[in-house]
Amino acid sequence: MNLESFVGKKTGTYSETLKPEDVKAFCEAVGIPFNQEKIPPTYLTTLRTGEFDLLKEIGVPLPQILHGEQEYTYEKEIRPGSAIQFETEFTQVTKKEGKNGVMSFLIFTSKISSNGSLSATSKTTVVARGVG
Amino acid sequence: MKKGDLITPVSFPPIALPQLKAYGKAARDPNPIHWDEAIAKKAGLPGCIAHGMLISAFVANTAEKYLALKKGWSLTNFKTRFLGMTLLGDTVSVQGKVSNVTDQEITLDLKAVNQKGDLLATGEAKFGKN
Repeated sequence: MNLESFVGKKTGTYSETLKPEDVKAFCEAVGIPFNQEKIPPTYLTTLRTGEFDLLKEIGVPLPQILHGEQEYTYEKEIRPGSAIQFETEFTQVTKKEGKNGVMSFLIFTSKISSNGSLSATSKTTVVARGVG
Repeated sequence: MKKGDLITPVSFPPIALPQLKAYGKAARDPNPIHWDEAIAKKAGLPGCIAHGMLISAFVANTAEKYLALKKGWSLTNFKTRFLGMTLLGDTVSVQGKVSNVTDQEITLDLKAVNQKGDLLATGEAKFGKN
């Protein structure tokens, strides 16, 4: 699979409102209290839509992927109910040959903004087993 | 709060399938390895595994709770590295320490382990002064 040829691919901008009831359901599933002043730090994982869309386009089957690393940088707090915009880019791929065959490490970066200014950035490393 | 201070370990309830289903829906994760055992096994996994980001949520919550003792600081950067799989029935606990303190920034090093002490994830949380 020629993953390199997809590097630099962007999703375009997604827009949505972070509904308080969705944030509440997330908090309940994790088992943490809901705070109406700010979303939990890892709530940004709900914005992996762009990554999943890109993985589909690249042709990586979901059961073959595992989450390797996740990094978030927070510029501003995001309140439940906020309207946000985000865009994801497939920024890097590295291939490794292991004892169980080939593995590819795919990196996706996302920018999340609200009211026209940057709120957070996300860097996701996905491990694709048997793909490369 | 000073470098080397330990964060009291926090244990979370055992991982169960209904939780993974509810979390997957709430987190909008479409990957079936978290709720369909047949697909998970076909993909070479021991069974359904918890979402890495669920473990990450436990780590972030532990870090924020610890820093809540100190007013006026907020999370500026949070990293998690996933090192082990969390299976159904596993109990996850998060522990850690203060790894650096300056006037402007506090850094916590954290880790999530299962009931056998196996390392599931490491985390780093940086807090800045508001």
